[in-house]
Amino acid sequence: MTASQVERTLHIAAPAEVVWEFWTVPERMCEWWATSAQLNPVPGGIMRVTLAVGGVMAGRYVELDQPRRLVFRFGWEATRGAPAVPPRSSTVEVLLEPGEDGTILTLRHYGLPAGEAEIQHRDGWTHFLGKLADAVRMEDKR
Amino acid sequence: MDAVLRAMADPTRRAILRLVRGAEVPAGEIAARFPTMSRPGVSQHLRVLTDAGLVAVRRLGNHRLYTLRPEPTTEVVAFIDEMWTDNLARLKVAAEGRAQR
Repeated sequence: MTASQVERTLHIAAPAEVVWEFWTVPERMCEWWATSAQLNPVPGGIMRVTLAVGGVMAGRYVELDQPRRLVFRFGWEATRGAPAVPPRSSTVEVLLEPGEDGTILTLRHYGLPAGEAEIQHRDGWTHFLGKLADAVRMEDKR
Repeated sequence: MDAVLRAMADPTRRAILRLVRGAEVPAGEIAARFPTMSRPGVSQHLRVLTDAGLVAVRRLGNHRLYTLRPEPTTEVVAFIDEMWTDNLARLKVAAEGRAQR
């Protein structure tokens, strides 16, 4: 994991087809993440998830390769106590790979916003932006 | 970070990033810097950069202002990390329970 994204990997003793339903069927989603969910699992389809902790996740499905890969936009309508992630402003990618006795789930969450304090310090050239700086320097030398 | 590397692989997009570093630049002004490129072409590049999280966009009246986006704070990353850790643990229990039926 780099500082700019969240990555989790876990083994689930269930077939990928079963795990997939937990991301695309409202009833299944309410078993682990939501208290209610409005889901239209097609590219561009709405994903509105009322969270158990309060607040609403306002997202949108982007890519669906059932049951292997799912990409969706992620953000919150104002959620108490949570840092501001505007609706659909970040991206979540879920990979489901067949593993021994089940599925390996890898989740990547990237494109997360900077906090206000950090926006005031626009010189933060760290991590992946360092690679950009290298590329820019190469071009400046031409 | 595939999206980031893909976004940065293109010289035009790197030029755009250099342009919006440390300033908010209207889309029209960015397009004007690339006279040989069509407006939709520039828009497409801006979308790739936005999707990769490399630039932020803000609407101001009829204008769209672009700027290089700094790293997310530790606070945001820690919150999201904790949320997924907790919820994926519940997903695992629920999915395994369902598979056993």
